[in-house]
Amino acid sequence: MATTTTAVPADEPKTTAPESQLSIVLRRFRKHHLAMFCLGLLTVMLLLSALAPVIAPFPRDQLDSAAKFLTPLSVDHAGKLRIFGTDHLGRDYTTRLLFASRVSLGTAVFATLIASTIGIVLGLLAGFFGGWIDTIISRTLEVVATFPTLSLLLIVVSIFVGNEKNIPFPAFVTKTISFLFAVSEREAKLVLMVNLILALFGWTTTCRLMRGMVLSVRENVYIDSARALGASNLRLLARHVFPNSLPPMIVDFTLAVNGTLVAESALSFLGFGITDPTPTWGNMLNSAQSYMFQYPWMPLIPSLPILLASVAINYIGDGLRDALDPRQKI
Amino acid sequence: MAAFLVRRLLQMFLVTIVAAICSYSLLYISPGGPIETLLAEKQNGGANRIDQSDIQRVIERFELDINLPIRFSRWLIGWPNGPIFGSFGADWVVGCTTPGKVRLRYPDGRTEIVEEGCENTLTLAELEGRKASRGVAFGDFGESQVILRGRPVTDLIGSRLFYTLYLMGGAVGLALLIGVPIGVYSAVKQYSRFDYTMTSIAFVGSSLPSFVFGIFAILILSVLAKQAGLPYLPSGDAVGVRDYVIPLLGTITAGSFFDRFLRFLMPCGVLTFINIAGWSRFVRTSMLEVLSQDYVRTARAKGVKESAVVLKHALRNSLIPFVTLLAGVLATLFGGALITETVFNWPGLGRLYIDALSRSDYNVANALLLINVVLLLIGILITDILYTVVDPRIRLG
Amino acid sequence: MTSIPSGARSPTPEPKPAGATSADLLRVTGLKTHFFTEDGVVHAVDGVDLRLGRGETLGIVGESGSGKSVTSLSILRLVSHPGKIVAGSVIFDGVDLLNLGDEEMRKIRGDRISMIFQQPTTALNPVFRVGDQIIETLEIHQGLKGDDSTKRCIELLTMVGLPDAPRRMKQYPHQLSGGQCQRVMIAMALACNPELLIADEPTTALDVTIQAQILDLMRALREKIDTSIILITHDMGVVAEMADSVAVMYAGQIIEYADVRAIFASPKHPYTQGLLHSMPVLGQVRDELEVIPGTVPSLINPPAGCRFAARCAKRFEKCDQPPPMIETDDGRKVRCWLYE
Repeated sequence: MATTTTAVPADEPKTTAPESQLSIVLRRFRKHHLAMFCLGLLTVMLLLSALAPVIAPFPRDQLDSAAKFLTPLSVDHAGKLRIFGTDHLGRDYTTRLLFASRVSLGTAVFATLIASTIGIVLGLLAGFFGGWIDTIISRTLEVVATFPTLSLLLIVVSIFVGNEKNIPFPAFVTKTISFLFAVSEREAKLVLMVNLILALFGWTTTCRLMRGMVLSVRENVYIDSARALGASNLRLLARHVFPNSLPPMIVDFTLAVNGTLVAESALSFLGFGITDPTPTWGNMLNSAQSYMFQYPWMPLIPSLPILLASVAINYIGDGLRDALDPRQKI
Repeated sequence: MAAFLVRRLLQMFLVTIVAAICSYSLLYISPGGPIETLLAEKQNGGANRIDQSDIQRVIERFELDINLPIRFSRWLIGWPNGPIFGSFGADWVVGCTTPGKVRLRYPDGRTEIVEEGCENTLTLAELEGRKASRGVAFGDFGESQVILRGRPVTDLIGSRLFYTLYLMGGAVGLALLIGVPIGVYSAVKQYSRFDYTMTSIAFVGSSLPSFVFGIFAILILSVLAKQAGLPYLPSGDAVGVRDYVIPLLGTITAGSFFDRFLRFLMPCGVLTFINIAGWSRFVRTSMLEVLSQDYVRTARAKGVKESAVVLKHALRNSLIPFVTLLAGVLATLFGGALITETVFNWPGLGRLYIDALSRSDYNVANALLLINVVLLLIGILITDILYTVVDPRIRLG
Repeated sequence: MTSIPSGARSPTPEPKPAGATSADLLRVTGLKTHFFTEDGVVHAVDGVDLRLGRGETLGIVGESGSGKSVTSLSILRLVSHPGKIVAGSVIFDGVDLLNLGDEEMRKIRGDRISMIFQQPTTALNPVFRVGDQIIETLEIHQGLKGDDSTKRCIELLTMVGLPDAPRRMKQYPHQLSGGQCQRVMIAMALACNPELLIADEPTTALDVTIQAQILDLMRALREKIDTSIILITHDMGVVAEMADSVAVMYAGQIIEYADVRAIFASPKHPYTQGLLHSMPVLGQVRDELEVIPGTVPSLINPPAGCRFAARCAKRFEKCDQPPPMIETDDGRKVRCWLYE
């Protein structure tokens, strides 16, 4: 007895007018009001940090023993308004906060860019070529996963920070860093060091994700047919695998930026990582902690931008995920 | 199963050795090294001149005069601590107490003294009588160098372990008790007001850096409440030093149970909240996934009560991925929450680790890191075994 | 190997003429189930009428997305968010299921009406032994406990042709093949001798030989326990073998409803004709199978007129208006203006 099937053409219920992928994503993202609001908020923070050297009302490290612990919105002895007050050394809090946002946000983006690049490249290699390349990369990932990340990060930072002066970074590198982060060239080495260490710890998630994406995309038939048509490996990577893996990578990148931001702030807060006089939100919070019982506003001011940036980036990531994930559409 | 265990234990052993080598090389042969660190500390401490005997002491303490492989072996397993076969290996050279010095004269007349060769060698026989630990592998992590100079590291860890265990045990237990039901209920009532509220709180909670959250808690519950004359929570330390008065509650005796309890509330609350935020989201996601599965529909179609559909058919399946999370719990139970303990000045192992690193007490830091790695590995092993218990599809092999 | 579509030669009891009302077990009228999605309201089931007598088998045929599965889930009130039954009535043995309380409805599920699903391997809970899953049904509805339930479970598994039942019932679903899982599902569905069995594509996920075995089993069991069956499928061959009457669904509506012999002998609706033409017939040489051009219309904004019009070769002006269910002179029901 035979029962025959496939009497009916497969369903393909797409009858609406074709809409480009990008505009669909943008339309969906715009529907996510909270994410839009957070995007605006983050843009403002990025703008402020970009303009820090221009709009800062005081020199960054200017001490003023006569103007210590001024409360926000008070006027100092010279008759100048201190919007966010001054710190325990009489340095202008507004100024330091602006420069700190440059370093903190800069590190979040810069270190994540390096980490994601490493992760994407290694993930592509592992997923696409397989074999011993994959074995090495995957084993490394497994071993790294068995280490307690924060503990190890702290060790590495505590060892290398302080020795960065001995490392001969090329002058153009330190110059670039000093420009990007609005710090002196002497401080640039430390900033670069912390960035590199954070990047070294940050690539694994991206790599694992990328490898998985490549493997699943590679399973798709059209890659096989493209290969049958004689496309080279490089061409396959560039034309097929990479674009298909992009949407989840964007979401991953957003969330990774947040991870780096929090990691850097935590390091600085614990007294490791980038240290005074280079301001970051984390080390401002660290020094403010000692005075919180007398001057409660002091820890409050640097912790707010950490909080806002972190929540905002998470919401943007969430909005992007909703916008990019086709499963959402029924 | 037996074969799996043997293979797994072997793997764990190898990873531990690798971890030991890594942490050893990171801490003891890093650029700068202990000499510079200690000398710098001395200088900062006001000692202007560092004489030869200071350097000699440091060299001896860190066994810098012994070759690296031997040094590592002595650190790891406390061997060799003298001649190997009776007197046979007694004159084997294992290090150099005084490096040889060679004067180089450059064509331009400049001279420079470089270390070259060895003037006084160190033999196995001379190792006898040196103070050495029984080896990290046997649980002897040596002595604390800075924090409690001269006391065994294990004593130091032992004195802090209790605080970490009771803080983390409380927080993890509470978070499980509260977080899992919230996640399940959120998933069952998807799109309800409860779900929406809980998901939003959990979302903000899990994107909130723990130190910011901790600082906020102290600001509001301690600082501002005290300034406003309201009942407040004492912050910092696990036990008070002086008696204090809290409005409405009266005088709290330092060291009393109530004093300890009040100081426990805030760090435990912060940790619990963060864990609830993470775990309830995790359980909700996996529960939603499971609730949309065919077998849940089958259960409904055969007339199973809705409560049993959720608690019996769905929950059992949704807890399978949750088991993975528990792998890390053992390690965090021991290692504590580095950041939260630091924020609240809680005298646990997490803060000990931070102190050890920032004050270059390498033996202590090293011991904590290694124990952490081992516990993480044990956690992973337990997870794998637990998996086979909750999911009949998985076999160990 | 027997031939299929040229008529229902299967040994089924003589079907009662459509329209007999004497002992209707199930009567569905004006059923509408909509899905409220972000992109709009999907009219998945849009006014479906069905009737089923005791001991009868009704086949519901249609392509995926035509609403046949949602219809069956609606009868059991198992439509989940964002779906909702918005109108209609489902009279089962004189009681409107849509008006029952949740608890009363639950007592009917698995006891008087039970259901088997398309994917037997995923329809069984992976973390429970298959025996326990059957016993659970027995406990809920018949209060059987301990040895009684074990005995009954072995009896059921033997009945559905699973050899070595005492050992099988201790196994987990992943240790069984797809066909074996479907036998377990059938055993579970028949555990309480239901009056109505809804089978949603019971053979689609299985190998061809296993499909045949399962169909044989279902036919044999129908004789034995005298249950009514609603068989949902996209496979006209299965319908020919099993059903007494057929409802053809398209885009959320029934477009033709007839006795199984009649529909194979003379399909009326152009869509039904297309369906029958696009299936291979054994013993008849054809160069190629006909394919119905086009795709199912969006159910968010269904076309105002006949929903099949865009793909229909016989359309004319009138097709711009929605056709009602038209009863033809020979007592057939077709939703097509051609038969007005």
